[in-house]
Amino acid sequence: MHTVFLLAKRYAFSSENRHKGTSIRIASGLALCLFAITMVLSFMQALQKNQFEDIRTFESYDLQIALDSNDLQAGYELVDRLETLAEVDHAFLYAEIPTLIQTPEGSTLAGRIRAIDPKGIFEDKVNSYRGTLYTQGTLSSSYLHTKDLNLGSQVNVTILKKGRQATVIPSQKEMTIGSIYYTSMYDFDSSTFLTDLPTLYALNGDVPLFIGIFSSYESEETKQAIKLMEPKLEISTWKEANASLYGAMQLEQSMMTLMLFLMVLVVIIHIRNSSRRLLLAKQREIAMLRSMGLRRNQVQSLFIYQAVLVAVVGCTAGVLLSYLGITVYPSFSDFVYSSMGVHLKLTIKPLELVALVASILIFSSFAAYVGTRRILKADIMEMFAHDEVK
Amino acid sequence: MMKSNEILSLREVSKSFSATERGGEPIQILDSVNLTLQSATSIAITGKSGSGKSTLLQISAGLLSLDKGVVLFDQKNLTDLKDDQLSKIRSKSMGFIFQSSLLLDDFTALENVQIPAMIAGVSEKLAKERALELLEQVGLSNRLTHKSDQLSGGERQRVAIARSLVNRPLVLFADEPTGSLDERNAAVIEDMLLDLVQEKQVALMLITHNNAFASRCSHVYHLHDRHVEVFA
Repeated sequence: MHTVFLLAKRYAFSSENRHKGTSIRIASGLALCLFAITMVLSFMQALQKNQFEDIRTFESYDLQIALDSNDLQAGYELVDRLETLAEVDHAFLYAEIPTLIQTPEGSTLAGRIRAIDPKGIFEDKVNSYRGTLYTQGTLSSSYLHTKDLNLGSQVNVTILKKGRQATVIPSQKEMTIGSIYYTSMYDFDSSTFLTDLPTLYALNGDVPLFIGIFSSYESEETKQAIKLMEPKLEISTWKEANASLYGAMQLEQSMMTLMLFLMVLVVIIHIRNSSRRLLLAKQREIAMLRSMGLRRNQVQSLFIYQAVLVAVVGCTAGVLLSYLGITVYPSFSDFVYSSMGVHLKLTIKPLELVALVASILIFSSFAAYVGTRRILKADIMEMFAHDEVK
Repeated sequence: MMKSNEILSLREVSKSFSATERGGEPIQILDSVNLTLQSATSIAITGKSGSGKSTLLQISAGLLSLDKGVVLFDQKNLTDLKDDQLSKIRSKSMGFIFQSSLLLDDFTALENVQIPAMIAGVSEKLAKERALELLEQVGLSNRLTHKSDQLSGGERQRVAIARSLVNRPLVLFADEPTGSLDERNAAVIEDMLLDLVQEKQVALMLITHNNAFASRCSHVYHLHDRHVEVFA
């Protein structure tokens, strides 16, 4: 085995090896593939994390409870009870209604008015650009509308209310923009106007009341804990409440996984072709070694060692390149922000990297095994012919 | 049964090849060939190009499969042996010299002679000692670190001779060892090969076109029309 390993080392990278260039090209190819996959994976995950964080910032809950009455007092009492649970970090009351807002210039914005009990964590999530958020009797408009709506602008709010004869009737009220807010997801928050709960209920007393919950635990785990305490509550997780949005993001993730799979396929084909090229280049030498008495399994071991050595060098370079990429990325993040509008924080998950490296090593060994097996099926003298053994 | 001093015996050996890679009528190369080689003796096989001399040598050494017949080497039927057993015999009991002096191109002359010994299980140190001794015997002490492409044709063939003898084989198979050399170099190699074979008491199976070289062997066989005829 010592002799086989010595031969493998020489065949892989020794300066004495005529095919060293091929080994270097294969290792470089593997390094670049690993680097590309790691970076794409890292970008994908950072982008998705960013999107989830943005949406969650605005939706502001891990779990949502639909209350069967809009009694604010009862709602506050339930919030207090829920906050005694270890799984609940913070609970808050909120309600929302669809609305049409007419600006002083006459343009109309379709969206929703959301009322939130602005205590605790939520207070940190939505930022004031101008004025004081949640001032009673006023609305907060998104930073995105500052061209049409500014501090003190008078807007005409149209909402749907329960009618006496018809099911719903439109109702209009003039209100003042008391503050401008901003979050990190403009296209989503632009359709939302914020206010406090008493102001919303003054507009429409029939709006259903909800409790939003922040939890550091798994949503399902927290849901079960709340169910134990209040079995009759209608609880849904963030994913359940935003099923269509979450579904779209999952679809996006699946498509990205498919792209990643295609990249892995390219790597696999690269390994297979490279291994074949290396083996064909050594076919005459395999025949010579066999005539010297090297057994079939020793020849296979030799070329598996060689493939693993080349793959180890390639993977090491790929891992170093990946970490280098992550390290220098902050220098380019402004460019990414200007083109994509997001600040991404790239990270490498070591477990994923280990899995990728292990896959490359396993496939390299497998390709070498299959390649030599194919060549070794021929008689030694056929191998000497140096033509591709079919 | 093999006679006690017979090291190699071919019985009723037949071999044919497809006419083309796509098949077609097979071409019969050897037909019921019988041949024996006694220990520490030499036989030469002559014949026209394409008569099947090299095929006969390759079958005798277990490098090529045969269609029919038996090849007995040191009282073992090569056709019945598994790869491991055949490899062991090739490693310890056979030496090969090919016409084109095939050397491992990535290795030096010394390593080329050393490697077969290491494959046979000899320690690196001892293998090196044996290789040095043999390379000295073939006059290449000053070419130890030279690789194949830095050696002349005659020098490469001398390395091949040293390599073939490093494991002290029972039989040396030489396929036109002087075929690609000029007259002067060929004469040197002929002398060197026959002297070493005699000195080390190795049986030799030699394939050659050169009748003078063949006549220096104990027996000469002529391969003609798929059969072996005793020539001298």
